[in-house]
Amino acid sequence: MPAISEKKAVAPNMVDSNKLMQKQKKILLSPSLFASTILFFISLFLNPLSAEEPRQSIDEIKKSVVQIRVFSQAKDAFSPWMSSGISASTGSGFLISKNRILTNAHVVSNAKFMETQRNNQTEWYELKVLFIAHDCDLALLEVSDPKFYEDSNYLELGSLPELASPVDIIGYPIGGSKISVSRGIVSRIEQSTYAHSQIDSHLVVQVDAAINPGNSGGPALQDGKVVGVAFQASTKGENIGYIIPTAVIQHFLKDIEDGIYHGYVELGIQTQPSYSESHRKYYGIPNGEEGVFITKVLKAGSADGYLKPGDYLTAIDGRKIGRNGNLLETNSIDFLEVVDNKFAGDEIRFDLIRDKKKINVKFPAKKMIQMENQRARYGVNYDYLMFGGHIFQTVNRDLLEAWSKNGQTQGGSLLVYRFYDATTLSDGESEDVVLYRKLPHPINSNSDFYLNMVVEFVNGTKVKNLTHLKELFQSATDKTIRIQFYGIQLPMILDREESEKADLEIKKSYHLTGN
Amino acid sequence: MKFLNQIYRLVFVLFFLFFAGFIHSKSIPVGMTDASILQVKVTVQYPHFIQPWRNKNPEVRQSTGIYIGENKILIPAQAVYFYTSIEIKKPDSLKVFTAELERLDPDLGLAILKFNDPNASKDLKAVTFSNEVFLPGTGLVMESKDQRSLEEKKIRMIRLDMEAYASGYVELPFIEIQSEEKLDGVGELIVDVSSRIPQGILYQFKENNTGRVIPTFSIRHFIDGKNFPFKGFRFKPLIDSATRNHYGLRKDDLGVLVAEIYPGSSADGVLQLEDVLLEVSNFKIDPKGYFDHPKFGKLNVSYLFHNTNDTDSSFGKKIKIKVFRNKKPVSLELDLKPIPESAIRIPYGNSRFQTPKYLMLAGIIFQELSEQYLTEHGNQWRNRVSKELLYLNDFYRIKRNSKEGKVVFLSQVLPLSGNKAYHTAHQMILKTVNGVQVQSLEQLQTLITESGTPYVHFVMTDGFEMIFKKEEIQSLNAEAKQSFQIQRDSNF
Repeated sequence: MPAISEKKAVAPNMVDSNKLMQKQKKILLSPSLFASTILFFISLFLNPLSAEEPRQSIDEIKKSVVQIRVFSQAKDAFSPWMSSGISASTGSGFLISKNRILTNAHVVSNAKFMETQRNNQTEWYELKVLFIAHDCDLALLEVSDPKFYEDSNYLELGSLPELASPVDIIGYPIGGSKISVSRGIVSRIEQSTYAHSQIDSHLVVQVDAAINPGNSGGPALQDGKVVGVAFQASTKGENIGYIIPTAVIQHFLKDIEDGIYHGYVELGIQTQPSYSESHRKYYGIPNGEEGVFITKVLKAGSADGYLKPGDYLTAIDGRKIGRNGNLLETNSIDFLEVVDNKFAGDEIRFDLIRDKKKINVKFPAKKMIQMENQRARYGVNYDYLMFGGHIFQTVNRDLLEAWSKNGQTQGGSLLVYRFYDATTLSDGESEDVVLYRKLPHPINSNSDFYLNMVVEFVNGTKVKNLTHLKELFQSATDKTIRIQFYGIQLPMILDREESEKADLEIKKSYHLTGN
Repeated sequence: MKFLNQIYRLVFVLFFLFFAGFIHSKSIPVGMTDASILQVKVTVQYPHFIQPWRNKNPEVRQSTGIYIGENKILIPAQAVYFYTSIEIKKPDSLKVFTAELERLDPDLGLAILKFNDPNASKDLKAVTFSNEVFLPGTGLVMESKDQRSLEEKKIRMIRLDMEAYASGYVELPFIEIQSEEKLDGVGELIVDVSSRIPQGILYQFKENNTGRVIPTFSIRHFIDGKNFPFKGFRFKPLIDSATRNHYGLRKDDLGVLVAEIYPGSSADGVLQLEDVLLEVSNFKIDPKGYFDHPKFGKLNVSYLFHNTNDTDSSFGKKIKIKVFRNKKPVSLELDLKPIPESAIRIPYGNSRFQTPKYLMLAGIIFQELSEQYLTEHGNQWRNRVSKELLYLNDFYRIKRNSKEGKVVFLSQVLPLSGNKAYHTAHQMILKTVNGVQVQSLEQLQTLITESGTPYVHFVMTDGFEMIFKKEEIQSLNAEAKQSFQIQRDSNF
């Protein structure tokens, strides 16, 4: 039973281009396709990108786009003491100032070694990551060798492209070493989930151009200016690609101005539309007043302590909210987009109706810590605890995915439920810890019953997080340790000294190092 | 002399009673040519659990029927759930007889049918079931295939064991069999190969050539119209030394841990969670939950509560229990009762003739959670259904206390313009209506009808709200019924 069945509108275009290269070779060998490809490129380079508007020449653009080669190695969330194999992949990027390269976070995630090359360069130059933002799939890189920047150019950021306007996607798709340009039309602008973190939702621009592996991180240009970064493709429709618009890029660049990437803030509420007249009358909402009802305020979000379930939000920062939750001025952008553009500490102002009275509420924007475990994570060591060969870990997305790939899902509906409803179940302070596997040893041969259960109490003390669990085990003095799990009436009983002794043997037998 | 006469009379009565009892339980062989095995064709029409106002397309089920006298036929219960028509064919006869369901036991998985025509049983020979089970031994499967005469196939009867049957909650004895032949497991009669004495009814046969037989003593208990008792608790093996030491057990060869107690059951008020069950009816219980039966070998402790074998049946008796509670031995007595259906919070397994209930309010369908509702979402149902409903179904099937109610949830919204604000809602658990916690569909219906407020306010567990004027609920229901061809607002 795969645990993760969340619908994905989009998937990241990451790594492994070998298969696609083979496919591309086959396509190119087909005479008609080959001819049309040649014709396409001839027409592309003969004709100006836009006849009327001033723009950079293609040669200037080529000077600013780079190919990135990455050798990466991730940690295995299921066996957190082990690293996975080393893999190679390629992506694209572009210079946005004299010596800064912008690309996608997923291009350089888990990288152990990275190198880059510009068009017509023969040498590969070593790269380093300056800032990486997994929540918006962007990264800023730098090459230390100045030779790399000789005769280079950089690109300027433009604005949000118009619907139905053309954009050119530049990059090094499907492993080719030559630069590629493909043109698409802006077909939709909306908020959507970013596949890299799988939980964050920001503005995306949909284009009807194929975005292939290797394209990721390359610029999308309109009139010679960057209107986005190519980052993911649709898994459903053909030739549908997505670019990260400049608003998100600028948010990232502004965030790192103080030398630290802080990440996105979260409002932390759930709302429902207000189409029903009865619903509005029940809450005493005046006729013609549009807005949305709050159904839940999440613990430790920005709104916690300021907004309440039943509040009727009519405006954010003075911008009116429609009954479907979109800003009335455009009727296409969700009001949460306003919060998305803010930074920690910025003020959020709401006009709302509470208990039939119009009031104003303002509060500072802040990050929600409990979102971290909901997000796919990269370049991290997964903390874990072994006790009596039982492996405990904080419930997080990477663990759940690794767990379902390993087929260890028996009886795991508690784990899946608590993960997916974590933001609503969480008190904002504690984290769920799960006993998700065991390394077999005679001492734990009878504990299968408790696998995939989430720890609630140890010796009568409510467990706050993995660190707290470790402390509870370390400070225990009784002969036995009594662990209670959510939903299970019978506790698991472990002999403290025997478990500690067994762990030494288990570490040796199963080659556990670290921690 | 008069006194002597009375003694003679008493002896005669006792002899008669003994003999009558003997006749009643006497093993009568079943001959190959005996007209006892019938072909039963049942048309069934299952309810639709996702759209509970509808029924599925009718299906036909073939099974074997065994004539037990008095115009009655024994068949597997699985064949007759939600039946619309029953047709029975006697051997060597082309005429089809009809029958009606007389009685059914979902835990044992058997049903009794009765011919509509009082003359239908003419020429049929009744099969009698006694206590005799020959284990291990060789048996014959007597089956009657369509338009063919009776066939016999060989099986090996291996052992007696305990487990809940397909639609049952109570662990009951079954005989495990093996056969090289292909069998159906649809109610065929099993007889001993040499004596031809009935041994049971085949109710399951798998591709790995193993099957299960309902033993004769359980069948007889059912035919006699008796209930099956239920111990009312679940236990967990107690085989690791850390746990055994924690509960203060010195010997390492005794005891299982009481892990769950059903409210209102035999064990409610007698046993406690974390009691260690040491002995039942003077039999010592090993740490895996088995005891040594003098005839059948190692058997699950449930046998001591649930079996109906005359020789060691506990039916109608007080059961002596010895437990280790708070590190002290305690002797208890337990009265056996049938399973309290009221303790079941989320019905699991097959439907046991339970039609899915629904209540429509403002064109919105509310149901009570059952496993059948979830499994109707296809092979990948565990991935498709709400994660909260799945979790509840896995962990909260049985009430933890008698105050816990059913899980009432909004299964779907029938789209109408009057409820368009809530069209996206589905599989949400209903928490309160006008501030009152909802425990069942009946209670929900009462809350709505008796509501004295102008508005009805629904709140789901995730905070989602729905609000209607009271009169809107009726008008939207009327519109939904007309538009979506639904006959009734509710089906209970």
